[in-house]
Amino acid sequence: MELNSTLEAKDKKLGYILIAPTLIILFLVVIYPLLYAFYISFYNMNVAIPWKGKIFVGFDNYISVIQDISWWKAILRTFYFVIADIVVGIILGLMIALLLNKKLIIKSLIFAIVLFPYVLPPIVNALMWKLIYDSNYGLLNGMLYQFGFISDYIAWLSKTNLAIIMLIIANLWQGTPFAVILFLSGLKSIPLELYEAARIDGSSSWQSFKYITLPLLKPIIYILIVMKTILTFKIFDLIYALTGGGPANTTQVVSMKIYNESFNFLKFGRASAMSYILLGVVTCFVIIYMKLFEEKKETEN
Amino acid sequence: MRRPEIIKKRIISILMIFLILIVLFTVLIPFFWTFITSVAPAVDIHQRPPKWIPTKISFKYYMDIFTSSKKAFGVSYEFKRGILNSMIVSISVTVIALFFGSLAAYSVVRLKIPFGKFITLFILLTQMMPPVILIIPLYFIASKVNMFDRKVSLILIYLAFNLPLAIWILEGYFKSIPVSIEESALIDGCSRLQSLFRVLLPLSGPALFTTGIFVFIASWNEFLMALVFTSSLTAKTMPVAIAEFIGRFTTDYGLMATAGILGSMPPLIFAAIFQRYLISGITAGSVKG
Repeated sequence: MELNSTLEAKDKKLGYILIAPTLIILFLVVIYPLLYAFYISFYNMNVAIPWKGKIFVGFDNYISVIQDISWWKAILRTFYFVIADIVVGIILGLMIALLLNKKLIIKSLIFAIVLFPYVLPPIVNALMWKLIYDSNYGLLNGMLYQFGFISDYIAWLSKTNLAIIMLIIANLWQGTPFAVILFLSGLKSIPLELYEAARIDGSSSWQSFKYITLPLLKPIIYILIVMKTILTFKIFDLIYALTGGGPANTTQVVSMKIYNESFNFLKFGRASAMSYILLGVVTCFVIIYMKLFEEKKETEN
Repeated sequence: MRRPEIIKKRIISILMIFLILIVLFTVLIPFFWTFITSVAPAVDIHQRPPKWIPTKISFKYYMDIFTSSKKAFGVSYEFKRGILNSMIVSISVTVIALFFGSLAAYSVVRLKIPFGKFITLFILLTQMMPPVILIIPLYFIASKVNMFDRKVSLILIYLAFNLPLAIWILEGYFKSIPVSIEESALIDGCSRLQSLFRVLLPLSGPALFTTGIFVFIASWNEFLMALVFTSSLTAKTMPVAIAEFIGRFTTDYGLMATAGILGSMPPLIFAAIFQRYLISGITAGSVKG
């Protein structure tokens, strides 16, 4: 007994030593900076005019961001990306997964190809779409010109109403494989006997999709909605590289806005307030989802 | 089966194959076009419409990048250095994350450290929080302690982003290995650390592998932090070099496309060879959400 407890104490001590490096790194790079950003958000840092020093401004930064229409417009634009990623991405992802969920000859090659956009560096994704959308030579212009749809090349990314749609398409191209992979793993876990039984009972394949496949994939759809919201709210690389937020700010998403506020306008206090408001918005979404999905689960039961 | 049914089935399966081909084509066309741009003569692709099949194939840009040196080929050399820096950073992060991650996972699973919940919370936090929120405070901290434009800074930041997930995957795997295997080693006089490194880790190959691939790809692809925290050839990574390419007004498309192809090689090779690990990692990593 005595021996056991000393052993356990020894184990615990070793345990703390082993987890220490991780905790130190997380503290230095995540926890402390998060607290520091919160602190900065209450100050006017005056980086451009250092002799003034930083000035405590209370909630002024938060108030000015909340009253700023351009901020909410940036949130709205980010939301377009999120909606497209959720609605189109999930429907398309499910369709592709159903298509690939068959006995195929070169399955592993096909899977590898479908995985490609998922692992691709987002900045290379931006580069590839730059080569597609380019106004002087791009693939899209070339194709449309070749088939006679356009008589002159179009500057896709310089048109205020087109640019965001072009970026949404590029983002969907990279984002959809994630849904495909999750759906494929979900489809694999559905026992074949269920379909067998349904077939014997005389149900059509649409009916077995509606009453077997879809209900059993619901948890995956929920996960995808939450993950896509979180991931797409972070979108930055593609927009930074392709339009920089332009033309006329029509593609300026939140991350871009915060980045510009910090490194172009040097308003670090206000940018920190933005970051915290953004974190609040994302958290709200996640909480609302959790509530919605839990209620749904309960009513279904 | 009656004849019309057989014919119907045939038509459906042909339609399926056709649709699969469309999907594959849509996925591959940006790659194809980038590759064509990287090997075709500039004249071919600047025509209206471009020559879809290049008249001549040349790997000149690839050679330029590989043979570039400090004195010649300015932009090519910048990109080459970017690739090298990315390699150093990503490999360091992967190795260190696996090492620290194994230690932490072991301590949570076997040594009954009360941090399990804390780690889960951290995975949620590091996934949910937009990384842009950390940029400003890290920027001020880095300028105070002289950590700008150094690979070490990037390595530390990426470690923090990737450790929680690494621990989470390893933890799940360690739990699945029966305690009895380790107990016999402990009775034979192994210390806890010896049993971790000689018994547990050799059995955890697949988990270490999956984790390693994920950490490597995440570090290789990261752009925002690298953009803010590096500025010169000593630390600038591949994504930053590519962003500068895209941003230039007079762009050499061929060179730019070559950079894109080379920059995407490591993750693509991983996806092609280790797809099973990747897929299992993606599904495991998402279930927690």
